[in-house]
Amino acid sequence: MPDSPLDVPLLAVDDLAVSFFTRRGVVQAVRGASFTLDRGQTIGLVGESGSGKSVTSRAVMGLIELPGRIVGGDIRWKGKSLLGKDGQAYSDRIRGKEISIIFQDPMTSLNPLMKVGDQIGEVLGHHLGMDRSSADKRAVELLDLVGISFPRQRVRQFPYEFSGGMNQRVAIAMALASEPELLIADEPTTALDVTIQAQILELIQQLQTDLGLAVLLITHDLGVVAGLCQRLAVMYAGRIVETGKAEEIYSDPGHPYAWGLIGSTPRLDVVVPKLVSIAGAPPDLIRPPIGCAYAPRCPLAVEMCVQVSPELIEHLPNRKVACHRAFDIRTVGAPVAAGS
Amino acid sequence: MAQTVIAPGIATPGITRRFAAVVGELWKDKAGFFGLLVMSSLILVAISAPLLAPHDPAAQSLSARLDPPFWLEGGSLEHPLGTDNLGRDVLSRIIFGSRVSLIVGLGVVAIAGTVGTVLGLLAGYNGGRVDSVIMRWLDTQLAFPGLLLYLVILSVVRPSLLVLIVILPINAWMVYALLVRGVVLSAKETPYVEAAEIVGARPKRIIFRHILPNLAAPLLTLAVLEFASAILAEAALSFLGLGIQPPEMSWGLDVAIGREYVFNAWWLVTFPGIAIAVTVLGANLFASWLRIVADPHEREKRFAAGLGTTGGRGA
Amino acid sequence: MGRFLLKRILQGAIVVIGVTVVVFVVTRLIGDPVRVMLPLEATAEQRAAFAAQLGFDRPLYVQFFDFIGSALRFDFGNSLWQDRPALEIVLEALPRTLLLVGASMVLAVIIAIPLGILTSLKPGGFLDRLLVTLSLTGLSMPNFWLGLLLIVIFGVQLQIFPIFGSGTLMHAVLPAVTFALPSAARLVMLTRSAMIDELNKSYVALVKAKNVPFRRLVGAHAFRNAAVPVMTMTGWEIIRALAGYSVVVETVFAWPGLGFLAIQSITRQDLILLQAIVFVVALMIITINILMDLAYKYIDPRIKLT
Repeated sequence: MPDSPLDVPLLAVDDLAVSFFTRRGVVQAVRGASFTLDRGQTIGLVGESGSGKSVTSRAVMGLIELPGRIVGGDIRWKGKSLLGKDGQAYSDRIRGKEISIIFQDPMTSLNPLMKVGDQIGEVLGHHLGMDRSSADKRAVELLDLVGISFPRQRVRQFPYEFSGGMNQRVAIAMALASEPELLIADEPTTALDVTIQAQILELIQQLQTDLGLAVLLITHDLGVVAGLCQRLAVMYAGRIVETGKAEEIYSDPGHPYAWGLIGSTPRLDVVVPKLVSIAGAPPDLIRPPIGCAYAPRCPLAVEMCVQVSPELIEHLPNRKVACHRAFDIRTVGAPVAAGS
Repeated sequence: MAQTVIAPGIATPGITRRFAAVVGELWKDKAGFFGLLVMSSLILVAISAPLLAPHDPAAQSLSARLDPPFWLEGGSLEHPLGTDNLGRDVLSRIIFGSRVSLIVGLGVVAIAGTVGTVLGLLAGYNGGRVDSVIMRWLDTQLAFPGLLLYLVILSVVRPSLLVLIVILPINAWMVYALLVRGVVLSAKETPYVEAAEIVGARPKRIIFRHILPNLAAPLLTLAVLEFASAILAEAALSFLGLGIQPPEMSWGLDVAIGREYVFNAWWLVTFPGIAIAVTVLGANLFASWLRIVADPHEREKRFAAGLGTTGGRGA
Repeated sequence: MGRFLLKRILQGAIVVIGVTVVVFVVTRLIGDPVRVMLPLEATAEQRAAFAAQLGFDRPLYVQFFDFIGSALRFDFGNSLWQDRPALEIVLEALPRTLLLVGASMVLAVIIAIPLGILTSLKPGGFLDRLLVTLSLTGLSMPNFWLGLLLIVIFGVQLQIFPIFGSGTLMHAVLPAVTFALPSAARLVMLTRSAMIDELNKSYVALVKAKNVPFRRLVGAHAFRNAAVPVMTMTGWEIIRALAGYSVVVETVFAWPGLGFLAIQSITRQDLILLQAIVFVVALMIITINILMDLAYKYIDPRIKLT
């Protein structure tokens, strides 16, 4: 496949909308998500559970199945759309080859009845056309690469013979087997012990720099993205509400939700006067509000916020915020408990 | 949807509207509706058999032996489904035969269901020794040739309706016990039962207030399925000559009579067999509808499946 | 492994002894073997002589230990009906039943597994609804009636297959189909639901993301996992066929296997023969259970045989 020009972003998600058609009604899980990702770049997609971040990642992988459906927007890989009839074929070509994914719970995301070596090997066989013996050899190398000791013995073992952290390493090895350009990590550490979490994040970071991977990290935990991601996209109720460089958003959040999210994350490097939580709950996505979805929980909300939905606008260079009162949070000062 | 909004000030009692809502949903699921229809017809026919049957089912007629059903040559509407070797009306025998099926089905479900539920509750709730004794017993009996046990008993005891109702539960109780034990074990893990235990609610209270409601739906589903199994078992034993004895009437017995005449009177085996098959099918369909209604996940899946057949894959 | 086998064989022995005890209790306590085995018009002297000949006049506990002891030596005594060792008659009939059950189970599995997998791929679709309805209908038919229907259609009307007895392979076709269809129907339903469960699991989502060929996703991943419950059910079907349906189906087709023999032993009032049959069937069931446990270990490496 001819590579597209370098000035085109590797992945561009443009006003993506995904709905789930349930008995209760149409759940608008993603209602216009836009962000881009360049080669070798790391972006963190952050939000509460139910904010649509995982659905966005599934859409990128071409894995939205009924009752879910992509109802609007576009996803472009190297400038070419992954949607529509031709896009579907393109998506089928690159899925698992140029883009791979790891899931939240490593204990359930591996086939319990297949040796880990074979689970890695089938990727090598299918995407790289390797024969059995070279796939076996490569599987050992991959296990070694992700830091599993005695890889030669380990390839012949089953997932139940590994710990959670070890299985996540196996899943990463499997994801890297096809030599992808983008790794989507969907809550890769949520199901793991705290001590193991750091190890897995380090591993992803190291692989990212060594292999020049682009990484789309999906998490609800700002602490996880802190060290790993150059850029952030904050998602709320199916929309991206703020994007920009990670450290800029940390030090100077433009959206009150991002501000609240940072305030509710325990940090070791910054002394936060008081850990706060965001009062209230996310809106019902069957009947999303007309105005800003965050308005009911927002300490800065004014009448316009309830009436008019804010667009994602570039307020500062490389800094987009979807808020009528973007950066007004600066005038409020240090985070204080909102509502409660 | 089972939940309905009961508006105050409306004359219709809530329960009627609720019932209407359930029936409305049942109507949408044609198979489930058919199941309910069959089950209620069985009860109605069994109760009003003397009114419905065109003839005395035992009345013999030498002049009308082996008459075919009315649509065949030689048949008449006098005996719509024909007559047997003694000139008895096949339709009337089927109508009266429904009584045995219903009684055996209900009786076996009542006995096996009670015994199985009690033992399952004991095993699941108490755990420990009680549990291991009951489970050990169950494991042993599961390895036991069930029908052969019936045969041994029926070889020394003269078979009758009552005997069937007493011996069929010997095997049938086990599924209830397994189901109930499983539900109780998982219910025990839920926070509300743990909380009730911590608060000091008495075990019986916990079981009745918290665990039994969880059991209602799966138990009802199982009972309907087992009702069908009991009917099948009775029919098989009666067919073998080890169940209902003449002059009593049973569908299985009628099939056995018809077996002697398969060469020249196919209707004698066909119609009672259809009665058994339709009754069992109706119970099975009704049970699978119950299972789906009781399980929100299943209902959601059904809905999604409906999407799959009407619309294509998006984007 | 050795320990496991020993343990299971011991458990099996307990079941066999249990079966023997139950048979003893039922035949000696609930019923009166002399009354059952002799014709109604037998005189009191004849009854006494008969009881003495078979030892029914001894105290119950003596009879009991004698009964257990001879059962464990596979010595059930002579059949009253045929006047030769009951075990000999049973062992003649056993292979015929095994042939029928074996053939029908192979048939059932060959029909059911592909159909079950096919329906699971698009639950709620046309094919799924059609096959589920057909399966429900199939498992609702009493198998003696199904057998008679097949006789009417293929034996009487079309005259393709012989109807009664055994001898040629053609004789086995209709009874085997009668066994196989309801089993196949239950297996279709089970394969379907087991596959749907697996296809909704997280590891299958990851396999989809790996984008390996669909056939591999279904076969090597989802079905490999669904095979565990499917195999359990197949084992159950074999047991049900051996210990239950064989009686009915063999009677319908006059197939001279264990089931038909059991019915004949009852009509001939031959309790000794019936006891031998029950004992041998119990042994078969235990053997099948142990074989299934070994097969589990082969399919699922997580299972520890203890």
